[in-house]
Amino acid sequence: MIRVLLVDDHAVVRTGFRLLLQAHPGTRVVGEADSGESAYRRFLELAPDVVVMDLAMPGMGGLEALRRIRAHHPQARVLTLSAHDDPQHAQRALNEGASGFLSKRSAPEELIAAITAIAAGERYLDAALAARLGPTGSAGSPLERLSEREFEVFVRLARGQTVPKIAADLKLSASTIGTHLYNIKQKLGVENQSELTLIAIRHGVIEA
Amino acid sequence: MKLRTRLNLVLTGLTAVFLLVLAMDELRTTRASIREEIEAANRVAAHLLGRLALSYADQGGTASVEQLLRQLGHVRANNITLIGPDGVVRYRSPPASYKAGREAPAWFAHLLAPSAPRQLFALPDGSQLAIDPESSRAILDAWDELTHLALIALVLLAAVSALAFYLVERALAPFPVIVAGLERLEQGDLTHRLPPLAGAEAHAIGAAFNRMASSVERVVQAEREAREARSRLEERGELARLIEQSLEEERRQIAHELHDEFGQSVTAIRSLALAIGSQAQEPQTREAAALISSEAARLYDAMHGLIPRLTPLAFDTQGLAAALETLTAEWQRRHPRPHLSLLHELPGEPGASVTLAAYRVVQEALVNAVRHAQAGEVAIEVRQVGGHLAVTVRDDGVGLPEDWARPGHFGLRGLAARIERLGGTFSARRATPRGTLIAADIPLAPA
Repeated sequence: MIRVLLVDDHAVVRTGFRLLLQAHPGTRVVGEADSGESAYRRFLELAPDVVVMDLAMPGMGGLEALRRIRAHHPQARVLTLSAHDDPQHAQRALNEGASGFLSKRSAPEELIAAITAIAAGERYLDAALAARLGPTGSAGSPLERLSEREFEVFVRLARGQTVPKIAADLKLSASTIGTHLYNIKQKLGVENQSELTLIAIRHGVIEA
Repeated sequence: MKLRTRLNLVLTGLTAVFLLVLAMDELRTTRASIREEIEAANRVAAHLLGRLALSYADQGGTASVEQLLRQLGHVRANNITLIGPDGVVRYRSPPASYKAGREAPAWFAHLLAPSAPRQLFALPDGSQLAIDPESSRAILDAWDELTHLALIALVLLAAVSALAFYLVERALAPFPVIVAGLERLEQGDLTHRLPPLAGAEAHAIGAAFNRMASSVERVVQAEREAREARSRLEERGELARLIEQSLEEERRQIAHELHDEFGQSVTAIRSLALAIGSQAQEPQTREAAALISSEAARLYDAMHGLIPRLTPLAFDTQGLAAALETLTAEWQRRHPRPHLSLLHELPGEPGASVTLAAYRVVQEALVNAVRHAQAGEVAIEVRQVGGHLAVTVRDDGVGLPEDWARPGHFGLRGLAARIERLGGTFSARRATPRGTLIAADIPLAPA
């Protein structure tokens, strides 16, 4: 039985999720919170297996609550939810130590699978988002298509370094790095740096 | 001294001098003629009387001379005196009866009197006949004539002066009117016009004044209208900017509302539907629950499709570059053709209005490229060059309709106006060899 703490400022959303989770025999909602502050308190009281937390809340938002919980309990497993389904939001949540990210669009269907995966110690990324980032897993990983130099640049980019900084570190010209960046984006089929970071996180190249 | 007074004085003075000169000349002539007359009369009278007296004295003695003289009476222009041997005046000719009792003024007589000497004739018994020239009558005549002339001259002078006065008055009458007109003009009464003025020159001046006033009025009027038009235009621009601002703000709020509130409700509905569906025993209930869930999902998607059209929410958390990346990625996902490419060089974040304008340019260009242009490739470039943000969107489609700038094409026209309000330039034209090139150059708002 997975013990879940629901954090969302919309009571109707919490009700929906609670009913959904109650219908599933493997999960149980042990508590609810409607703000980042109360989420932190409830977490300390209840020590749930998984926290399901909306990122956008008035007052202390979901990200800050996630940060606090992780600061005191690095093992805490938090599934973050957002109305935004763009890679940037996912990246930020994962960077802050979230175990998973779901857009609210996908949440109703994927909530149970995500909670189950996270409770088992895995990461979980919204299926629609994951689809946009290409297939995962070691077999046919897109990262294998990168040259060694490109991989090196990829890792640095994923860590958020800028092109000039990487050029200086690797003693290459900025335009060479730019060419690498172009090739990397082509090979991985990504549009921007956030997606790049997400791929790196999903493939375990960098720690979230 | 006033011009009028001066002119009058000059005219009167000149007339007076002229009359004076005439009078002097008259006086000189009169004096000469009096002298000639008196001298001639004196000479003749003296000669004749002298001889006559001598012959009378020879025949009848002094007594007959005296008798002769008494009979003779007054001789014109001469005074005759008979003086006895003892020096006693025995006879003095009577004064002239002509203009008797009247005399010319002494100074006048003195001025005109000829200096003919007394003529003495000695009679045998020692008596003397003295003949003195007598010019007083002639002088009186001259005086009378002169006073008569002076009277005429005075009348003439008065008449000339009056006429001159009248003419000067008439000639100068328009000047105060012109001065008053100029003062009115100076005080800003540009509608003031002069009445028709008497006299050819004054009339010409008046007409020229009126023409000048008209053209000044026209110029001032034109300037005022231009100024008003300019300020109206500015007001309209300001109004358009405010409307645009509030429109954007409204859109942003609607987008947030849709995103945060309605989205949550749909999520809740779907969760509840799924919960019901998973617990329901009857197939109809499960089916209905599944239907509710899928319809709610469609609602969610439709709503989220609206949001980027309303406002790029990404601005709130990320920059222009990320927003553009999201925008192109979304479009590419929804429309596999044309292929979109995005290149951005944005070292810093431009201001909010520039960011939004650039975003709207790309958005509108994409609408055009995807919906109308049937393009195969669309290249988007957004670069910060110096103090400007250069946005170009090039496609290889069928190009713009010729009349895109005409009313009706609100999207592009609205964009053009918006960019112009930011002080930038906007152009949308057919590219060579084919396709459309939409370009905007926006100055970055001062930091």
